[in-house]
Amino acid sequence: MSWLDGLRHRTHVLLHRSEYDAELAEERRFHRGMAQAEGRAGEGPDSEAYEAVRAPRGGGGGWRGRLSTLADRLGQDLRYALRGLARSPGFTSVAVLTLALGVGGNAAVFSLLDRLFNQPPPGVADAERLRRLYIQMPRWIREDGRSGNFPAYSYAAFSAIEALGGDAYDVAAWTPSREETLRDGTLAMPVHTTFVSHDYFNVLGVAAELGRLFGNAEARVDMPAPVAVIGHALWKRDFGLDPSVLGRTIRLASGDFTVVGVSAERFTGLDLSYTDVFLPLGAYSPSLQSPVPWYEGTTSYLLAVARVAADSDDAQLSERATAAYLRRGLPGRASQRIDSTEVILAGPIVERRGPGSRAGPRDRDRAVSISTPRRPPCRLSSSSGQVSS
Amino acid sequence: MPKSSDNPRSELLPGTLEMLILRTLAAGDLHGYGIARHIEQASNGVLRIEQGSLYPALERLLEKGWAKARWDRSPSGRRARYYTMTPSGQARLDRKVAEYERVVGAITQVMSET
Repeated sequence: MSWLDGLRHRTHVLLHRSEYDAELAEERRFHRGMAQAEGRAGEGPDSEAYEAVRAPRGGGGGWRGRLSTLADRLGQDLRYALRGLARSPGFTSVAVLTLALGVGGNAAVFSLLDRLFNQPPPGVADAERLRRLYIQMPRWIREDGRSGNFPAYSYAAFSAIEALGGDAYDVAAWTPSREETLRDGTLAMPVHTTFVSHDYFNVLGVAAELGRLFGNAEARVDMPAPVAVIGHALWKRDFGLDPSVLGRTIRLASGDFTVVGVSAERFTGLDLSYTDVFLPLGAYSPSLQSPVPWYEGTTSYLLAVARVAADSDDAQLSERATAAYLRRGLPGRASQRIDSTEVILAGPIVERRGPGSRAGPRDRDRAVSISTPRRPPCRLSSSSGQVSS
Repeated sequence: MPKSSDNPRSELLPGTLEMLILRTLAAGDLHGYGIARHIEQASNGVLRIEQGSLYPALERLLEKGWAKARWDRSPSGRRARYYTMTPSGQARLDRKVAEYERVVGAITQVMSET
């Protein structure tokens, strides 16, 4: 590794130049001393001649000379390398492209993982006091002990938890964003929409860039309020930051909505995909058909986020939310009963961390459990006496 | 490499000084003055290396990584900078010697042609 030795030497010279100059002077004194001791002092060139040779370029001598010599050499190397690259443009472009793709790919993957495991959603205020709420279902814990935590709530469960928050926490709900087509006059564009409870922006601490956010007028879940808040990115991309977007009617799959506001610039919703349009929960209609309105059924359409009050903590949040959750009304089918072993857990707001995790990714099955709840691990005896799972 | 045309004793082929220094260091670690003295003595006083040639050459060896330097006590008790040949310096020396022998052989052939 001779180049490494050489590099180490050059680095040492560059970084410790005054010490190195002193070393060289001492070395010369030693040489002269030895020569004198052996009676050869008269021979050899004097120190000026020596110095001139030591610092052939860059004037000044000493470290300056060495530095400029080094710079000269680096410059030569660089020019040589560039000439070589210019001579073979094919190789050069392949190399540059490879590097560019590598760097770009790494950056993209890093920012995705960062968002999944480290960063809270952008644009929310005081993210350290925000919690995702999970329902811990002991009966659903798998035999290997993994994840019995469920992130979604029926409206009945959510409103029970919301009602009991008091001064311990505020809670808001939203539906996972879905893609649909927005029509504005002759324009049609794909957007991600989400339905949010009227407190959503308050709980997250997101302000309006323009117009207003949802208020109590949009709180009724059984009464669709035809208003929409659009995201800043959509406003910029498709409306050219035009303030006259307020009052405009946009058409979505769920109906026509009047734009009443634009959310703050950095905020893009709580989902990984940027949310473009926020609509009040009252306008929500799940694609699943059911004999009762969705908000009266037991299906879990909603995700919940809570803001812990400054003088409260996770334990109090969990306790109070659990009490509220277990007292929720059960409209719809009477066959379903409240399971008193279930507990509401407060988890980090970070996308892919489940409840109770601080350091690393956990709860990898969450995404799965949203769409396909696993069967309980308990074994049921069939009538024939055989055991099936 | 400084040209010292005023000194008839030290006309060397380019790169030869480096080879001489490496050959000297191959026998063991030595300080700059010792290297100069060794070369002078071994050549019966014909090759006298000036400070102005010796130290830049040593600096080059350090930069190329063919030698390393450290401070140590000389037998006289003074602090001196000792030079050590690295393995890549050994490789360099072998290459230079082979090259040198080839050149000298060629020169000898030309000169003995009558």
